[in-house]
Amino acid sequence: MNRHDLLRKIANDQPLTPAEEAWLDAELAQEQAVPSCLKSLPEETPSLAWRSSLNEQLRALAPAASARPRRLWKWLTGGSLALGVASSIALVLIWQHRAGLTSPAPSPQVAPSVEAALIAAHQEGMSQIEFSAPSKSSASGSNTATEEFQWSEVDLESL
Amino acid sequence: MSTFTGVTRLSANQRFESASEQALIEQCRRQNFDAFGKIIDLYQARVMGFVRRMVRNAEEAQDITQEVFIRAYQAFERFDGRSSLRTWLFRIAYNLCVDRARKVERSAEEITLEGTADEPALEFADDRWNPEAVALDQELASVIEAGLNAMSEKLRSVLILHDREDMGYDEIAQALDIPVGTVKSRLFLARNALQEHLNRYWNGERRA
Repeated sequence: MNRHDLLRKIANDQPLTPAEEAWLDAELAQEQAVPSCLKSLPEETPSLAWRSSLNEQLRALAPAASARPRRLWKWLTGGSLALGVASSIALVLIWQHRAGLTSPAPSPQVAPSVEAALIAAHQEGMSQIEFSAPSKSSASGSNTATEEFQWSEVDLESL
Repeated sequence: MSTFTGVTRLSANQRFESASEQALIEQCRRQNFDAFGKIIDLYQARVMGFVRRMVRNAEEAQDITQEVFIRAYQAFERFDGRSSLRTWLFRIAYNLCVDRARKVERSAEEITLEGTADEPALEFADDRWNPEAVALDQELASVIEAGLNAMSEKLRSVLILHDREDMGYDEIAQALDIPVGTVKSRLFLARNALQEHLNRYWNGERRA
């Protein structure tokens, strides 16, 4: 293997034979001095001012970068909120309409009996009030009761 | 003493990468500012070190490094995870450096690929080149930096990524978008070029 030719091939980035590649790999692997020198160079430490300036630039970019998702989110949430409210109102109206249509009409057999019972209970209660002794509190109101109630002759005789 | 601090830092970063970097990446994809801040904390020194050695002007290097993270932040949704985050960041950094170099013409003192081809490989028989024995002082560090600056960007990028950042051949090939064989060739040439530069420094020092 001609070293000079090999170096020329390497310099011209020409394809190497397997033997030449093996030689190059070995050369690269055994080299230690240059890597050590380079690793020993001092680190670059960015200043706080540099970092602060970078942060400012990134923050300036941040709203623009997130504007599209935010707009999409706003549109989605705004739309869904309005749609939700509209749906709720529509459901309530439909339910009320349906309830009006389907609510059972008072049964003619049941309603009069209930009403009659209520009226009877009321009348019984009223008669008990009338025959009971008037209290002090109701004494003042008794005049109005006598004025309003027209006693019949039969009633007066029964007393 | 800053000797070998790079090795310690790298292993710590590798552990972090395996443990929680994926979680950070997921958060960054959702434009999480705080998560991206942690990514910056993790890589700012290394990216800046790379960029600083790729461009000569320190202020320009700082601007480019900021640009690296700004672009990464903007494009994080498109980071598909096929390469590591480190590779991706160095790729952005390299591309920005190349773009910048296209605008600013390189000076004629660069060592070209052709120029280093005929240079004989140097032997490091001198005991002072023993990695364990070398105690870098400020002067030698500046000589190394000068040697790096004298190389073409193609050689310098491969050399820094491999020998400074401990990236593998495949990873470098991904970052720079070149074949693995080319990575090896450039690494070989870059090391030879730096050795030559350092050899001239040592010879000059001896004469002095």
